[in-house]
Amino acid sequence: MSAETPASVQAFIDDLASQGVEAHMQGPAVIYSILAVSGGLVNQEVPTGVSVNELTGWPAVPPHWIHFPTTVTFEQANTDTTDCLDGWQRHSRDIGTWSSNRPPVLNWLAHVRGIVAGAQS
Amino acid sequence: MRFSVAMTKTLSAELSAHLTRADGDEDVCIATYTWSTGKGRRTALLREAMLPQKGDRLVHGNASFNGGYVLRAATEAARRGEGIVLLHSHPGAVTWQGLSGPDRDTESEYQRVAQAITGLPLVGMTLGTGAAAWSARLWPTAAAPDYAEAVRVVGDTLATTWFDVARPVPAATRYQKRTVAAWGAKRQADIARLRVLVVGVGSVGLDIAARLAATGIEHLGVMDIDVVEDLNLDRMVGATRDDAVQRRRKTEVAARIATAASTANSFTVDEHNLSITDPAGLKIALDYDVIFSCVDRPWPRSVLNGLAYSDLIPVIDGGIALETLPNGEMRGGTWRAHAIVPGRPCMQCNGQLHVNELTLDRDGRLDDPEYIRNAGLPMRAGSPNVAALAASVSAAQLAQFVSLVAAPAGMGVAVPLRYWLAPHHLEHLDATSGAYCAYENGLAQGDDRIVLTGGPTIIEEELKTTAPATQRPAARLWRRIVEWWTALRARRLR
Repeated sequence: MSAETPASVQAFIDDLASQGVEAHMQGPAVIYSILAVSGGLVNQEVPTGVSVNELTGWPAVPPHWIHFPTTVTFEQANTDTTDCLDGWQRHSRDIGTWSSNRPPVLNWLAHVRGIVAGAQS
Repeated sequence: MRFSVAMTKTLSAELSAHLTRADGDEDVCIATYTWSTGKGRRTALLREAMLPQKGDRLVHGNASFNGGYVLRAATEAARRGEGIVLLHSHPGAVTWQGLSGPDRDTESEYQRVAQAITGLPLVGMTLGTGAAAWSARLWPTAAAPDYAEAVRVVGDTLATTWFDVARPVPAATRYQKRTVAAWGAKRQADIARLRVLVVGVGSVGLDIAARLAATGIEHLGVMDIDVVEDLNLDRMVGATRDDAVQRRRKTEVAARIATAASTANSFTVDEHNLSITDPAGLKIALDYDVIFSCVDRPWPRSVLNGLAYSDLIPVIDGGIALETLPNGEMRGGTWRAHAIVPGRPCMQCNGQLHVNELTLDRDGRLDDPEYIRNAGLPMRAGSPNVAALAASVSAAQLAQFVSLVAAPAGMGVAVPLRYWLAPHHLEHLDATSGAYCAYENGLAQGDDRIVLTGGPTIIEEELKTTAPATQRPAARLWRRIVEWWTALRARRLR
């Protein structure tokens, strides 16, 4: 863990790594990619991320906002560019089921994959 | 800074099983600890037993540590960023224990080892095996220890061994005869010394604060950021129209009502006008032994849910939900009460805390009409509630408190409870802890807890301590009037 990486952020990065997802902190966000398993972007690696500020409570409190490049679009209204890299915006996405009977990172990846499935190509 | 020690009931049982020998001899062992740092109290939270292996100690009537055992334990503790606790037993003892000369020499000697290897001071503990009575001291230097004010064992019950010098036994007052008759003088003295915090002093919290004061609790804290408004008066029993006109702080009103209800000779109530979601609010909460959660927002409840496990402070939470029919008539309602303690499911696992709401509440978006409209969420209006039923919630929470601290029939707190109003049915919820629950798996993390707090509360003043009831002229005058009336009534009855 680098001196600049807060423990909760590093925990999030480590949790993703445990599932084979390589993530890194870039400015105010943690960036990584996941493979779209369904939807308009199926079989494509989709870049995504979260705000560092939303990771302070990880894994008890997962982030609410999900970052995507502006080329990834959705039919949904709540977006802004807070904490986002240039050319990115973040999307408000409510987490539905969050089971404490499986590792938090699996809940998280299922959530993100579900969102990516709704992305428009 | 006061000093105390806390551990789970499970760990206490493990240590006791080792330290209590069938042959009646003393025994020794080592455990690790981490700090939980409040505003005015530091608590050493025991984390794990490191029981001796063959050759690690000598048992010869009096037991002694092998130096290699202490070195090995200290090295492992240092690797984890923890300190070490040297424990030994006094067979048959039933009260707080002092140190004999040899015990003092041993702990003083190993203080240097512990400090050098772990960077943390040594903690020494003694188990009086006659009544599972723990005592503890901290060795900031090798010269002399600082005794803890208490050792708390936390699980479905809260068992506290008090150091009577640091926290003298309060004399039961003549106002407490019926209370003492219910659970005995010793239990009353143990309960009265607990520092109890009520977070949220609206309809439920206000009632709880008053009843704790009447029970004889000597030190109460009330925390809230709101002021009394007209719409509160149909539920905040004891708050007045003038309180609403003056927009008095709810903490001030709660302190006034609790002070009037107090039966202890020495009663203080601290008013904390800030939120538990504020880091300063959390720090204050860590000074207390038991906390009542009387808030309904997800964020403050998540903070309280976390500290119940990370800092081993029992949290008793409750809430009410009333439903109406489209025509405005009452459909029904439920209220819940649950003790959040090690060994019982957390609020997320028992279905009272929803992950998706936490970040939204923390960001203030549950109060943002534009966000709510865009997200298609229902608007949060003030939930319906009535004074006649709010008392049921406070009663349910207080019953859990009694089970926690008085353990009737040897039984501790119940599983999460839900009462259904329409059929008048009390349901014992079949909630279980998730294997990956982030709250419950953060047991005894202390200052390394997950950060659930946010920015500081905007407040006008942080803390105001009311004078002890017995020192307030109005309270003295009122007591004299009550005594005069009681005496007069008794004379008439004769």
